[in-house]
Amino acid sequence: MAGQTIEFKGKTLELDEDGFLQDPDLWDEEIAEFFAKEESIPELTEEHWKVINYIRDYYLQFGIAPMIRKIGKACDMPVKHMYQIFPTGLDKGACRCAGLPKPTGCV
Amino acid sequence: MTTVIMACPTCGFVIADFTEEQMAAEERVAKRYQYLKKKQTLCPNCLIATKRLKELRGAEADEAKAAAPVFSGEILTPEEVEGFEEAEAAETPLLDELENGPWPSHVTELKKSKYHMMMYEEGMRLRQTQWGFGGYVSLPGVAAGILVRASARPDIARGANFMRMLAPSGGYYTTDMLRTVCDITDEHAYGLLHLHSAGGDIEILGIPTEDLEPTVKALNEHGFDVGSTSDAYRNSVDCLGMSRCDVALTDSMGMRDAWYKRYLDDVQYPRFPHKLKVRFSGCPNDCARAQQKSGIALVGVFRDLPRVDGDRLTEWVGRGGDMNAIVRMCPTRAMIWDGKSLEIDADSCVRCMFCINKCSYAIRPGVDRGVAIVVGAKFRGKYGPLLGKVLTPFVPANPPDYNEVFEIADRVADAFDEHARRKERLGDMIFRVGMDQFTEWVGVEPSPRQMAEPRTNVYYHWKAEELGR
Repeated sequence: MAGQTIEFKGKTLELDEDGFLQDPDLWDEEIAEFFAKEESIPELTEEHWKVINYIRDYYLQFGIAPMIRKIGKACDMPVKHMYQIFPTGLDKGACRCAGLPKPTGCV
Repeated sequence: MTTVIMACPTCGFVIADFTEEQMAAEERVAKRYQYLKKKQTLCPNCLIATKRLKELRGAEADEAKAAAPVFSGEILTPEEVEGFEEAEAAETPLLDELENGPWPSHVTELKKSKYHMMMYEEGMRLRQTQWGFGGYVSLPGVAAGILVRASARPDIARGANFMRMLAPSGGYYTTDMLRTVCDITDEHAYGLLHLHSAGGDIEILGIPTEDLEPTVKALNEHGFDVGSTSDAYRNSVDCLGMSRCDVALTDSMGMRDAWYKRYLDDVQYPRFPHKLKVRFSGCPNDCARAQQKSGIALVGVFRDLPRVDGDRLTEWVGRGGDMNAIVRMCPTRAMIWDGKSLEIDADSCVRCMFCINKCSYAIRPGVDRGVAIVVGAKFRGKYGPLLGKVLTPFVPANPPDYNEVFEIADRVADAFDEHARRKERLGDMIFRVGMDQFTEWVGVEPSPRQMAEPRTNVYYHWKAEELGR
């Protein structure tokens, strides 16, 4: 399955084969909510946004997704809890909602 | 207080961090900051990687990337695969050859299952495996993910998911339990088990993506757990310990159970920079290969001398036992034997257990028993195979919760989590920073007993006052 293109609220979004956003600059909060539904998250709560915003800020600063321990420290959450609020995993679920391209290696 | 972080722009590795006070107070720090800012320097790893890749393999690497097969993680049923009938009808002469001979043939076994024989046959014909890279499929509820083996030949098979099932301690299965696992495998997968994988777990091969959830559910219903994947604690392996062995010094199986009770969250929710393996051996003979294969090895040891039973020794020698050979083979020449009585020199003995293995009728292990913590062994990785280094030569092992042992293991895992680079094994990290720095992070006093070769190091002895005698 190759990448796909979707129309979302007047924007043309290019996704790769795993559904990750190709161009992180097109990301906005509505897209995050749209992705969250596909990642079996019913509603984005404050905790979700804390993680998503941290991952996104880190990515924009360093060009790479942060390591799990850093997310946990910065957002003040145990690792287990983060996996519970993002059931499909931090690498897929959280990074996808944050509009990052598919992370290489570990998160 | 503001902190300025200088990170590698490619990988995010923190090269240096400065506080503003530091910069104001120390000229050296301010200069270093200006230098780093001006150069926009990469970390050493990236510097090497980018230069090499661009200069030596630039075009080649790009081509290889473009040619790599794209894999979505799904497995097609035979009907969906184009040209499947031809492939199925095609003969497998090269594999048939492997069925000859008086030994059991793996090909015969594979043919009975739903395994894609043509993938194997084509690999044999082209002298190049037709399987591609591995990876993970994410499944809600299984944080560590399910493993996938991609295919480089989508015309034959689209790849295969497989999952690892955690084995009970000691690798003991009742036939009943195995039958349950077999039933689940028959229903959902190839009908093929890989027993055991190198990590000591059961691998269930070839599960279609839509069947992953039912498989996990079925396994959980019967009290089994999947895992041993991703950057978490992997499945741990132990020796048979006190359940079947005559020289077991600690209850390695009980310790493994206690360990799982304590760290189940870290097994299920990956949090480390890379995988971390823990193995349990009951004695320095190390049947579980802990000192060679695991990041944290917990090996049963004794501190006092081997116990020699004089009467039994005389009896053994009278029956034709060759004590002289054992004394000659003692690696540190610690034994003095005059034909009647045996003395063991406490300062030379390294507790290698050679004499105990050779003459277990008369020589038995000591009674002051505990656990040695050996860290940093691994096979693959940056710096090649590494043996474990002794971190703490003796920790008392107190069942049922083994707090003293696990507290140190805890600190090792935390130091690894805090300081390792992305995808760096514990052994590689210790190799990079050195044992001095590592012991400081873990909070263990450096000592001459932290050596690379436990069996030959002459510092591995205990003073009388340390033993409380």
